[in-house]
Amino acid sequence: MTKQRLGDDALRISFSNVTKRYGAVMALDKFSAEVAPGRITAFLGANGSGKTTSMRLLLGLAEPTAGTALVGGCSYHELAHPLRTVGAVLDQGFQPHRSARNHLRIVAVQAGVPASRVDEVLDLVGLTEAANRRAGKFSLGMRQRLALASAVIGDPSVLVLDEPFNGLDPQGIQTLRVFLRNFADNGGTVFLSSHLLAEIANNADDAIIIDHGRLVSAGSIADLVPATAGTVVTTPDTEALTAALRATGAMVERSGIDRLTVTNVSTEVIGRAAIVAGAVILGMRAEGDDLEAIFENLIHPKELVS
Amino acid sequence: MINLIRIEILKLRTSPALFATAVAALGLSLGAAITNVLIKPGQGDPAIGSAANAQDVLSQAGAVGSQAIFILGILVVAGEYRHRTIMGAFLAQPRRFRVIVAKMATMGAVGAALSAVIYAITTATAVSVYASKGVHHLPVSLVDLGLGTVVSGACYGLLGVAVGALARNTVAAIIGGIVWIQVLEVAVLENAAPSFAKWLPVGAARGLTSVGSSLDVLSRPVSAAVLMVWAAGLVLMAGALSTRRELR
Repeated sequence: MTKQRLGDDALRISFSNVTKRYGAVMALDKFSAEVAPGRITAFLGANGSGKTTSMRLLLGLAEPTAGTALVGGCSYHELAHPLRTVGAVLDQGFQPHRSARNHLRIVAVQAGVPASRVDEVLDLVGLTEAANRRAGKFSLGMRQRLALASAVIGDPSVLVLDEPFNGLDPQGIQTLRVFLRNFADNGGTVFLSSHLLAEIANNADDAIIIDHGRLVSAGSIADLVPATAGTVVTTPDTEALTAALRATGAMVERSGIDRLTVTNVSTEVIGRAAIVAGAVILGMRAEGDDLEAIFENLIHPKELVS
Repeated sequence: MINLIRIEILKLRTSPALFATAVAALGLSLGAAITNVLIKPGQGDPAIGSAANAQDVLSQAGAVGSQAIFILGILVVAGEYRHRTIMGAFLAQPRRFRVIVAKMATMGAVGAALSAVIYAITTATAVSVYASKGVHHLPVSLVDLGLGTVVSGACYGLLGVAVGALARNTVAAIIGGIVWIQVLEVAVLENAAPSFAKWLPVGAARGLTSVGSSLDVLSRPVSAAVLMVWAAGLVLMAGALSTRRELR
């Protein structure tokens, strides 16, 4: 079942000039952004930059001082079936004495879905064997899985996830990664915040970067990470490879004892030049893949310049 | 609303609070009733089996049960804030007032049912203990006393929900509630200003569970009305505050 049954606009998240002030603190300052269906959109920013506040405003847990945060053109309060439209993982807690199964039974009734969904989502997040254990005995990763199960039990079309990878083991991260990709590929909207920039770079389609409550950048990861950025090549034969690359028209800079930064040519050209020069290549990575550096550069440009 | 009440009942059934409260309230109620029948009355105390004595013994069930239900009502709301499960409740039902009303309705019903069970068991036990002391007829209406106890229990359930929603902090709400009941109303105002105290929640509850007593209490219908006005007022305040407050 694809999520597009509701239509694209019904699944779009939009923040329009959202301002949120807590006393003297400006948590969000005229923040505007769009989250499109069928894509995984990462919400990036330092601690206290306004990510969680934005998500809470979107979910009606707080009211904006000005502006609107809408799902499919509606405020969260106006949604006819909130849990069947939006699945959220924030820092919701669990009654520590209640089992995972009983917790999900309650969420199933809240969402208005049959109790059989409980076993389905327990299986989906890999908690079937721990279903009858008390949530208070769960590890951080298991609580995160239970939170995800709660979010998807209503088969929503939109997912709003605050740091969903936190506490997950590598297998859990892989499972979540595949799940989110399938969810988006089926037309669902995925809006997630994360500090794991490498994870985002590899899996998200779009990114919204926020700093001090203001939008810094929004767009596709591909646009954010410039294709023309250099390639860092690690080789013990720097002299020979430099000469061979310059013959192809490449611009080569020595960036370490065994490292070259190459621009203007593709990785294929670099590989062929290495064969011609008889140079051994120990490693090659696109400089622009370093989302962490780009992120730092976007939110702390002055510090990097100085 | 029916679905919201179903959810609240499911929450109560799947947490230890209801069972623990019921067991504790029943134990205390039975203990107080048995002890009061068995202990030889002191000079000036009503004789065993007299209307005043039976009134004292059986109203213990109402008092202990109501206070336990009051604490359960607090836990039903403040416990959700403590464990942050309230966020899930408000995400599922963004009209928060409805969530508070559903909790109120649930606790009203649970309070009435729990009071009835505690009262029935305590009364049956007390009657047996009286019989062992040679008293085979109690000169009070057990049905009237039971009805008053049930209404009082229901209203205390509502009051607990309201206090829990207002305070949001479990410990502060329980301590604040007990100080209000035991210190402010019972220890201070009932002695210093009894004509005022009878209009307060404990005074009104006493009016409900004082059948044929010589105490200066409100009539039973007025007591019920006063207690309901208290509960409704506090619940309205709690509902309004819950709607306006932000969850952080």
